Amino acid sequence: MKLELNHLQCSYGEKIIVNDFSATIESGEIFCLLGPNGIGKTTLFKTILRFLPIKKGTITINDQDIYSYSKKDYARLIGYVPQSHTPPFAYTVMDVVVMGRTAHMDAFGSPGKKDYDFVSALLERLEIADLKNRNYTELSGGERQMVLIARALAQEPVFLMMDEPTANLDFGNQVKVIQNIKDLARQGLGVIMTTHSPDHVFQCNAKVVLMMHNKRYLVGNVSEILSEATLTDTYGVHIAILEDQYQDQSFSFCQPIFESKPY
Amino acid sequence: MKETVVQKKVQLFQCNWAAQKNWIIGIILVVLIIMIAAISISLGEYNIPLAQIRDLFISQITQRPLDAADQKAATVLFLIRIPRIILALLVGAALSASGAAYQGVFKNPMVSPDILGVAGGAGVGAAIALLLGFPTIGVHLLSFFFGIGAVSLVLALSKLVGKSQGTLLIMVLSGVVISSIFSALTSLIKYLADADDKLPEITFWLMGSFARSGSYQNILIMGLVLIIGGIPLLLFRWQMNVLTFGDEEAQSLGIDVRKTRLAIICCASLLTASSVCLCGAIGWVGLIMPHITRMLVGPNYKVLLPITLLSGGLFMLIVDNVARLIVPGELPIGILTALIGAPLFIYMLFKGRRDWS
Repeated sequence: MKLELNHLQCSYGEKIIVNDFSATIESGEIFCLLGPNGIGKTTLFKTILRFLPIKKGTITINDQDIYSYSKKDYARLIGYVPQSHTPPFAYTVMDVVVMGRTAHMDAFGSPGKKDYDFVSALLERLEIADLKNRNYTELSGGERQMVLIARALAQEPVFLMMDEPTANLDFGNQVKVIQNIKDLARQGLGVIMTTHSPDHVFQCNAKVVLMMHNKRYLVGNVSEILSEATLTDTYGVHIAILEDQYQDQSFSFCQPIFESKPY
Repeated sequence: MKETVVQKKVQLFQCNWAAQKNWIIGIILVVLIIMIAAISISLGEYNIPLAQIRDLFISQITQRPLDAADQKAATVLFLIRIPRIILALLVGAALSASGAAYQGVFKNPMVSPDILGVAGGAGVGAAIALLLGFPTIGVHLLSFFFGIGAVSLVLALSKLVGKSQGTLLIMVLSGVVISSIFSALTSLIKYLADADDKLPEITFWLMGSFARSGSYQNILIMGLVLIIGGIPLLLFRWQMNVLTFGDEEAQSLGIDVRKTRLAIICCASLLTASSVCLCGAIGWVGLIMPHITRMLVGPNYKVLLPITLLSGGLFMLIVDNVARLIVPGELPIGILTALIGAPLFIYMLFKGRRDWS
């Protein structure tokens, strides 16, 4: 399936944040929104999720305008992994993940055995089955992130939208989440995520939009878009891109170059 | 080898227990309600022994004529006590369910019909209607609209003050502000009311009591309200879970947030308003019963909402018995629920403050 953004203009309130943005995201691809704070990553992200209205232009999935889908149908197309926060009540992990099945229930439905079985299998597959009966509020940040990913996957979506999936995670958990994202994309899911780390874009070998000042956007594969010049321009600090080899694999990564000022 | 078999059996038992626990708690509550209701029938200033109650029921069914003593007992039993008990159950269920619904829909465990000002608003609406001599249905409707008005004001105020973040405490504080405005309006209405006729009526009613409201007509009204307001809440109970995660997440999970929330608020407000119309402002029930029920069966509304209907009814029945029996004459029940509810709430604040921050 194909998610297309055509000459999109997004605003937050009256203020136009994103202008004339176009991109195409296919299922099975990882698409990263990269850019400095306040550049409109979240606005663009929320516009795709239909949390914010489209000002101008269109977003289509399968050549159909996204607003032509019902709320329920849209939830079956797009799963949302928010940044984790504490809900007011101490739901079990099972309860939380089963909420992802809501879009597959009747209007007044509650989850049935089928849904619980589905979720059990899903947790098994994500290797977090041992969390099943734990309280969601008592989990660590990394565990919570995995539970939220599981909830979104329970929607059986075509695209997964992740809002800074590695925020507030320790290094090990960041790596695990990136690994999961890569696996999911390989299984055919389209992943759209915002991130603050160009390294993650390299690690996912993803498609990327680099959102720069003055509403300039560079869209393409990571190797074409992320360079010393573009990153330095975007972030206003000197960033070099290094390459290295390890056991027949080559890696690219970012290295900020610090000025050595004399005392 | 043997040990693992035992372990497996223990696990299986635990598994079954987890699955059946909620049913068992529900059944225990139903049994308790029936038992305590039966006991409540015989208790009171005019004591009717259980044997006589049985005879009275039999003669009621067989239409046998009664002697003078039995006649009096029958009047107390069928026209005063039984309707009062049923009404207490219905109102307890209604207040408790509406409290649970508000807590879910506002994702805030610290709100209730009274804290959100719904009870206060509904009280003002009903008082105005009484003052103007409206018919029963008019009293309920005006009370309902004032209740909805109150909760809308609280919502608008907390949005305005808290911007988009609307923390738990800001909503509670907004409720306090709106409640105090409505309580001033209540005072104004009392001031304007005829001191011989309307004033005592309004005053006594506002303190909260079942003493004068137990009638079959009121049971019919409350029963209807529970059907109109309670059944949609039960139907939406899974959606309430999803709503507690916030508007954006609920929408992304496929829920029409605005419509669902509006429907839930309307139903919960209807339950509160009609309770207030029939027996005045009985505070705290809608706050503490959902909490106590949550401790018993967990936060999942799929289970919580039906169980809280039962536990709320049971609680109200017990408290009303105490109100009837503790002093000659009787105590307004609102006083008792406040005396019980406030300390319980403080306890829960301490217990829960880690999670609520």
